[in-house]
Amino acid sequence: MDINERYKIIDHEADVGFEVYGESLEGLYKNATEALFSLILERGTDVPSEKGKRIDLKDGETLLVSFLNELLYMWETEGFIPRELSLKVKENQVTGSIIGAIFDPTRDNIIREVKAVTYHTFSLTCENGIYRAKIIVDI
Amino acid sequence: MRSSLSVKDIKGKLEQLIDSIFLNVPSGVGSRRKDFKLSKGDLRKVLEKGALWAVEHGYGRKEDLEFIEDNGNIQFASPDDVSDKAYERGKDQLGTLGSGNHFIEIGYVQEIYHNEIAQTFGLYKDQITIMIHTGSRGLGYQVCDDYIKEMMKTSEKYGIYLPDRQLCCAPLSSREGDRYLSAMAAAANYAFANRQMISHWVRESFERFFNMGLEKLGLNLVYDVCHNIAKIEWHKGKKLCVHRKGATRAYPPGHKLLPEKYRKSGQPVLIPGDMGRASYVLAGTERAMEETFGSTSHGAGRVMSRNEAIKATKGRSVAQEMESRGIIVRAASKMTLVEEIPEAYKDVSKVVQVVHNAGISCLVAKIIPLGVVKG
Repeated sequence: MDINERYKIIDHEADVGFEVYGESLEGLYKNATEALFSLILERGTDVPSEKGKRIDLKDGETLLVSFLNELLYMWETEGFIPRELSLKVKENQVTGSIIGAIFDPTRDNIIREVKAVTYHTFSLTCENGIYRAKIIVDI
Repeated sequence: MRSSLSVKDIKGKLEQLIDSIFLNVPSGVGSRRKDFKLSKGDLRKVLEKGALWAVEHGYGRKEDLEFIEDNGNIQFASPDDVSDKAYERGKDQLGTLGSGNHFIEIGYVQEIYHNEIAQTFGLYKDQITIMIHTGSRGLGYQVCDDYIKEMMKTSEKYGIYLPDRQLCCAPLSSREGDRYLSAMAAAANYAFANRQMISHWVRESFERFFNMGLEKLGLNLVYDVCHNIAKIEWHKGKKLCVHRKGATRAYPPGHKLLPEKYRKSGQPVLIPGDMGRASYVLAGTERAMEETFGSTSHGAGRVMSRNEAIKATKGRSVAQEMESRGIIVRAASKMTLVEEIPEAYKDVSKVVQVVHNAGISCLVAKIIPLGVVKG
């Protein structure tokens, strides 16, 4: 793995997945958010309107999947595109705020619809200070 | 749906017709009809009544209901078991196609394999047909996600070993199992209503385009069938839960749940292929009841991953390639077209031969695509 690599998209028979890395849990969550939204849309560069969101989620070892599904929910119901994440991740809880923009079809280009972030073959490990997670999304 | 139009009736008009459907039916991510809004109370009714709700609100005809699996209304649905989040995701998506492998396809009957059954289904050579493939949209995905979270806990509670978390479950007889079935049924009712509304808008597009009434156009529903659902059914004297995932129901002649019109032929079974080759209409058989709990394959299945499809189409224009094959394609997202290229799927003609030779469905007609709308 390249030390600068934040995520890589991986093949799956019918869906799509990604492997994501981070030097901290917060970094891992940030990179996973970027990976997920890289599958959904190409963001425009000019982002005039910004919106803030609070996050406070509790879950077990699949907290990252729950977090990404929460972002997917915000995307689908409000068109919220996360940009800057300021998070605190403990073992079973993620709290913090996210700044982002609302989808604008004249600025952003949709790539595909992601139905859900799944728990299928989900893994999260930490080796030599590097966190690594594998996630499959349902297309 | 079948029609009374034939290939010659739409020759030279197909592109405009597809454009008109593409405009009339919201298809891409986030698309919705500006003239249609649902309150939470309305959505509750949709989840309770399914296709009946759509018909009561002017989408389609009462006669359609007879030709929908379970008459488009699963009785044990409970809107109370669906979360607020699912309601929120579902409220703006009713009557939308969605992306991925969802589609509206105008095709024609190229070949008839079984004259008598084809006649019963109202199908004949060169006839124009319309196939709609979509489901419960974000509401269904949210129901799934909500209950997976719960089921991961219940699996542990009931001591069920999970080879993969996504396979979490609960005994059907448990409270958790019962609640999930009710929520899933509510999502299925949403899907029935969704397809009913899209059918209505497709019919409306045909009426406007040809300046002809529905009766003359003959746009009648052949059948609407689920392909990802668990149902409580009786098989060989036992009450069972049959989960058809990537599979579809294929009830035989004489089954009491079939409409009177199909009692002698068996249930129409629809096996869509890819957007470039073919789709098939089959009929359910007794053998399916004996061997596969009244089920058959739902489609061809992928042979290429989405990434492989992207690599394979680098530098190619899929829409132009399809056009050179005589198939007009409109898609809200270019990526959907790339990921759904015909060669990404198994050859459906081989798949239906297997199904037919195994005796779990009987080949009736082959449909060739002419125009496709994708999300």
